[in-house]
Amino acid sequence: MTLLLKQFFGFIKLLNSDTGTNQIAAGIACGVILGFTPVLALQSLLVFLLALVFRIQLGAAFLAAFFLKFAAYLLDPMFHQIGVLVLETASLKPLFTTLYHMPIVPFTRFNNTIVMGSGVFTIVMAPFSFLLARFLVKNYRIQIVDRFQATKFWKIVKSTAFYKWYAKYDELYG
Amino acid sequence: MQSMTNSTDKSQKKKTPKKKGPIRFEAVTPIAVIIGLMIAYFVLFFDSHLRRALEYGMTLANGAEVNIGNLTTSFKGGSLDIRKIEVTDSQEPIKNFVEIGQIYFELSWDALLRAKFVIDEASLNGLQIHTPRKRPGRVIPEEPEDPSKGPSLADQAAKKMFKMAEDQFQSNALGDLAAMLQGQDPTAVLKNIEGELKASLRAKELEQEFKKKEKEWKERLASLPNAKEFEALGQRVGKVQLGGWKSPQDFQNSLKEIQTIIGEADQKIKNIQSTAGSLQGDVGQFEKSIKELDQLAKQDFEDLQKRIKLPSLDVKDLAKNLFGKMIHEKTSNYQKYIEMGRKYMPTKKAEGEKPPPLTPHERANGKNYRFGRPNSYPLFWLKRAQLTSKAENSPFGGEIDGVLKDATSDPVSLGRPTQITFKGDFPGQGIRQVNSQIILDHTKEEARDWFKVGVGSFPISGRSLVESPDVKFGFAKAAGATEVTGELKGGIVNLMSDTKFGQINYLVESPNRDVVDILKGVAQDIPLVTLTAGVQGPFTDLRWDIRSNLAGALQKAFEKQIQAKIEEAKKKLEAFVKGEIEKYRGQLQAEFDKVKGEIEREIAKVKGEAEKAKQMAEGRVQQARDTVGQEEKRKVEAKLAEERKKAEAQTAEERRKAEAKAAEERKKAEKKAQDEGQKALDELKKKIKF
Repeated sequence: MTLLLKQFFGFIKLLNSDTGTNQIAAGIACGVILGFTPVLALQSLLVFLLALVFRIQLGAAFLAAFFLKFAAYLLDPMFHQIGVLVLETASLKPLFTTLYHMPIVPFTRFNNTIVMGSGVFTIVMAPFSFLLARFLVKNYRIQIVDRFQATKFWKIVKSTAFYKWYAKYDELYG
Repeated sequence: MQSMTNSTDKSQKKKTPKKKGPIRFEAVTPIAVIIGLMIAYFVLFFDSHLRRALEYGMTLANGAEVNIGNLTTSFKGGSLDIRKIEVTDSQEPIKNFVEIGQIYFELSWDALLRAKFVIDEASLNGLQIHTPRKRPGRVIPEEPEDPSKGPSLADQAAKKMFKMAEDQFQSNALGDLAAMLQGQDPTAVLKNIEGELKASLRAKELEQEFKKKEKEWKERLASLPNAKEFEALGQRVGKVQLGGWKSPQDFQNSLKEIQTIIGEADQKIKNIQSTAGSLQGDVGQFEKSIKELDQLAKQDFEDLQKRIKLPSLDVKDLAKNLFGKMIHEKTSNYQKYIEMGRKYMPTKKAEGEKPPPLTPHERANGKNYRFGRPNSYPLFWLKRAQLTSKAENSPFGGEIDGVLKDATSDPVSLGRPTQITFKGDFPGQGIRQVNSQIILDHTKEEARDWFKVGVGSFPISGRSLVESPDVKFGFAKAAGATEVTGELKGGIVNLMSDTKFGQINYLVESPNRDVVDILKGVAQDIPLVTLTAGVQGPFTDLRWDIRSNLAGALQKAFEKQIQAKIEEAKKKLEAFVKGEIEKYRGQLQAEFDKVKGEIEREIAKVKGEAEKAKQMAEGRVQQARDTVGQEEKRKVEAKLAEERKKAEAQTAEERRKAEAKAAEERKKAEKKAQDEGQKALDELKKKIKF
């Protein structure tokens, strides 16, 4: 739980800083994949490991996954239809037959309509979700963060002893 | 100063964050911790959780508690070792239906990596049956069926069929015979059920209904056109002018008036026909209802026979009553396992048969496609399981040797039927020479389940065939031997069993000495009871055929004593039913016949009058047409005569004129000829100078 909270606070801090735009966008793109695809599949674990190994903002990934899980319930019929379309494509049948009998691959559950449908959808959407997230983060920083930091209220907060103490603490312990 | 500069450098060094690469090396520790925790879970808790999950699932499937003593998995070997599996008998929860000492198998890693469960060789040891439990097993109460998620119509029909059969075998023929032999008059209770018969109740209803109907019919009859209306039509027809018309318009008017009257008469006739048709239909329907009372009376007779427990001395009925319940108990248990087997071992879908459309609702549902190919692994495949068991001085243990081959979740792609064969003895329980062969062939479109089970000897103790306050009859002790052959193909059950009961110590109890004597006599004559039972047909319509030499012997023994009494009781019963119905039916029939006659007469009368009026109008039309025809003819003939005269006069005048002209022409010609002759004569005279 502490680790999770630390990730969320890290995300908020990074979001309000000037750096890490790509990390956040990549995190959101991973979150889209984790959120839309069913958990019990090998590719979800793979995406999770990628997010863990590469410097992707985990807080952004978890938050996006959490909220998109709810949207996934509504989108399941669409994923099912996409899955049916892909899995019933005659030209792909030999490929699927080979994959179905290969070691490890069946654990991806690619033969399930929802797993296949959501997988195809999220992979196609991943670059777009990355670009969209980057655009939104940049705009957020310009439209909201910069304006907020220019307000008198924020200047007062920054001049308080508590803030200075927090800034020092953050500088020392991160 | 130097130290100040150094400290400033240090703080600047501290402030400059170290550039981090794209790979999160600091995540190695958390990942290692997570993997470590997972390994710890599998080592410490997984077996226990899997054991509980299996217990839960198997309890649900069995309908009664299933316990697993110990479960050990090995990741390296892919093995599973389950010990002391106790399956509670749902009918008798203090006992286990079966207890298995150990099941051990190793899963193929090659298949596991493909998410398939393939077992090359499994072993099952220490099989025991009907072992006592330390504490009674929990039995899961049957949930009320949800119509939206409930069983299929076929299942419901099958359940209904089993219930019907159960009810059918509930009767206690021998007990009823004994009661009758004691002198009980079963018809004595009839006076208490007067007026409760379906037929008499229906007759009462019909009586009430008839009163309403009679009123309604009379009203409808009154709405029909009456004699005065037809007389009025006749008078109107009579008043129409027929002949003596001054102009063709008058004739047209007369004709139009008559045709209007005919139209009105036709309308009335149609009205009569329609009303009469519906009325006669209604009356016919009511008459049918009265006739149906006979059917109800027949049904009442049969119901009362059951209600007053009038026994039957038919051998087949006796055999059913004696052994039906016992056979039904055995066969009804099979259906549950058949349904389970068909669910987990699906057959090949017929061409064109598509699975029902699937609409996912919950996350991670959906539809799983199978991309099978020859010689590929099915999802589950138990290639071979050796069933071995030693009695080892256990009173419930068995000496069993058997083999199970090719149990799979996809028999179609595997192309091999599941086969189970085993031989065994349970010496502690006196069950010997158990020989069984089972083939579950689900490899084709139509599944075929076949089995042959034989038991050389099994003990019977305290088995009541008949139990009532009047008589208790059965086997106090006996030794049975049975052979059962069954097949289920295309939803049709075909089950045959041949059972023999020997070394019988009969159980005979009755307060009536005569009954005891008869039954003891039968018992002495029948040292070996044979029972042949057959069940055939679909689950929805099973036909039972049960025969036994015991039933024949009982029938003969009771026949002399009791046949006359049964016949007498039947006659009384018939008379009672007839009498009850006739109370209402006789009067109802008489009143109905009277009303029906009146209706038919009235309809015939009205129809006759209508036809008469129509015929009269049609006659008048013909008459008018005839009159018109004669006048026209006369006029034409007169005109023709006048024309002829005119023509003749004209012809005579023309002839006369022609003759006068001809005469004149002739005179002119004669004169001309005379003049020309004279002229020629004169010229000749001149020439000759005469």
